Parts: sequence; structure tokens; C-alpha cells
Amino acid sequence: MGPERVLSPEQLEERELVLAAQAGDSTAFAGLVRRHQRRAYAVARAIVLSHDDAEDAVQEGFLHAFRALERFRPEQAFGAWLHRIVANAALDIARRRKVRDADELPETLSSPHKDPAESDELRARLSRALDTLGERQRAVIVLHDVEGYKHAEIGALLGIPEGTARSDLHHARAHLRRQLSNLRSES
Amino acid sequence: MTVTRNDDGRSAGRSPGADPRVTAALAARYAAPAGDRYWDGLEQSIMQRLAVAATGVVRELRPSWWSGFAELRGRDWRAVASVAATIALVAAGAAFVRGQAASAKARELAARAAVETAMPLPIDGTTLTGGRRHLPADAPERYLNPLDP
Repeated sequence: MGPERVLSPEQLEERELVLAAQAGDSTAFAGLVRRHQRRAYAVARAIVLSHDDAEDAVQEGFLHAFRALERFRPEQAFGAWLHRIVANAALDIARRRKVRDADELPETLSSPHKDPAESDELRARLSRALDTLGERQRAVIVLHDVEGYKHAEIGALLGIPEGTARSDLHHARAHLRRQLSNLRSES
Repeated sequence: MTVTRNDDGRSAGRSPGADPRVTAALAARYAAPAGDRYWDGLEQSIMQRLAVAATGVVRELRPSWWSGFAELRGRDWRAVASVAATIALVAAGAAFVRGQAASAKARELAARAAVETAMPLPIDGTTLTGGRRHLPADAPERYLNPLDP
């Protein structure tokens, strides 16, 4: 028997929630939903093209997780297990969406940029550049540069080798750099 | 709808080689909705879907009248088939007997109708009374002793 992994109070609390949910406690499962839905949304949103699809993927993912909960081993990391399920749900939705409709940035989204003109131009150029980027490369760059996942984690989420995730990230960055190279603010 | 980053301590946006401006624009584009109301609503939606799914599972577990067929083995199927054949035979016999009875009754009615058509009943009152008027006076005696001259 290997040494027991020392769990943080949060991890202990999560394990208790998992065990209770496995015993049929829906309130405990609601606690797991509350803990993980934001990160699950971020994973799904990196893969699908729209907010609505990301929301659907999150709901589908939790539904699959609920059905498969008895097969989950509590010594595993629940988040990693769940995010893989959500990523699979998002990949399914993305596959179903063969027609890529316009993925316009909603007007209500806030922007961290100070200059509205630069922000608008960057957003418009970025939108066009992302449209020409492969779906997997787009997911990889968002998961890595925005969500902070490591290559191996991205590989596990998307079902691709770690080297492929690394390569996709490199190509995605190069593509965006080319597309956004002559922005007004750089001149 | 306002948005926020899903930052839980990961090194988001600080990856070496990443353009900070592009990363910031990507973060704005792919940011999750902010505000507890949205997440409370999403949690409720998820739990409602789970409740519906759980109801479906219970419904699937409840045995239906046809669910027993799946458990029948070959020998059971032969028994069921022989019982069904017997029932079908009895039903066919009953139908045959009932058909025979119906056709016999129809034949009898047809024969009676044919006789009544060939020999119509005398419904004319004049004829009846006229016939009686010409009876001989000794008719009762002839009726009682028909061989008398």
C-alpha cells in the first residue's frame, strides 16, 4: 500500500460531497455542481463556438457525470474527471455544429482594454483570425493561455497527445500573430 | 451581461510566448458570465435535468407487462405457443359451429319465404265470406262422416 495522499480541507470536503452524492444525496451533488460549474463552463466555452452551446455542454456533462457517479473512485480528483466529461460533451456539440455560424462577440461583454478604438479593432481582427483557426487549435490556445491549463491537461481534456497540444498551441499563436501583426497600436 | 475570468489560481494569461493583448482579448471573448444569479440559475437547471433523468431511470426500472417476454426461454416459448394454438383451435371451432347454425336458420327462412310466395294467403274478406255462403246444408254431417254417400 502506498502512502496516503494528504488532502486539503477543501479536498476532504469535496470527497465527502462525492461520497454523499454516490449514496444518493442530491443536495451533495448540487454542492459539487456549485463548486465546479464555472470551471466546467470555461472548458466547454473553449471548445464550442457560443455561450449557449457551452451552457448545453455543461448541463450535458453534469448529467453524464451524475449517471456515471457510481463508477467514480473517490480517491481521484473529481474536477479532472468532471472536466473530461464536460470536454467530451462540448466536443460532441462542436461536431454536431458543422455549419460555423458567425461567432460575434456580444456587445454586452466588457473589455479589459482602455482604448475603445483599439479594443474594437482588436476584437474585430481577433474574431476574423479565430474564424480561420482550426477548432482544435482555438480550443488549445484558449485552454492554455486563457484558462491556464498545461499541455498534458489539455491533451487529456481533448483526447489528443501532449505533443499535439503543444504543437497546436505553437501554430495557433503564430497564426494569430500573423493576423494581428499590423494593428494600429503597434505602428 | 457582465463577464469575469474563471481564475482559480492557475497561471492564466501569463504563459511565456503568449501575447498579453491577444490573451486579454481572448479572455474577454471567452469569459464566463459573472454574477451569482446566472450561476444559481444554471445550477437549478442542471438539478432539474437530473431530477427528470432520475424519474426516467425509475420509469425504466418499473416492470411492464411485456417485460416478462424477455425472460422466456425456448422451452417456455414452446409452452406459450401450444397454449396459444389450443385457444386458436377452440375459437375456430366455436366460429364454425356458430356459422353452421346461422346458415341453417337462413336456409329455413328462405324455404318458408318461398312457400309463402308460391301460396299467398287469402286476405280478401269477400272471398272468405262468399265461400261460406255456398256451403251445403249438410256440411257438418259430411265433415263428421266423409264416407257416407
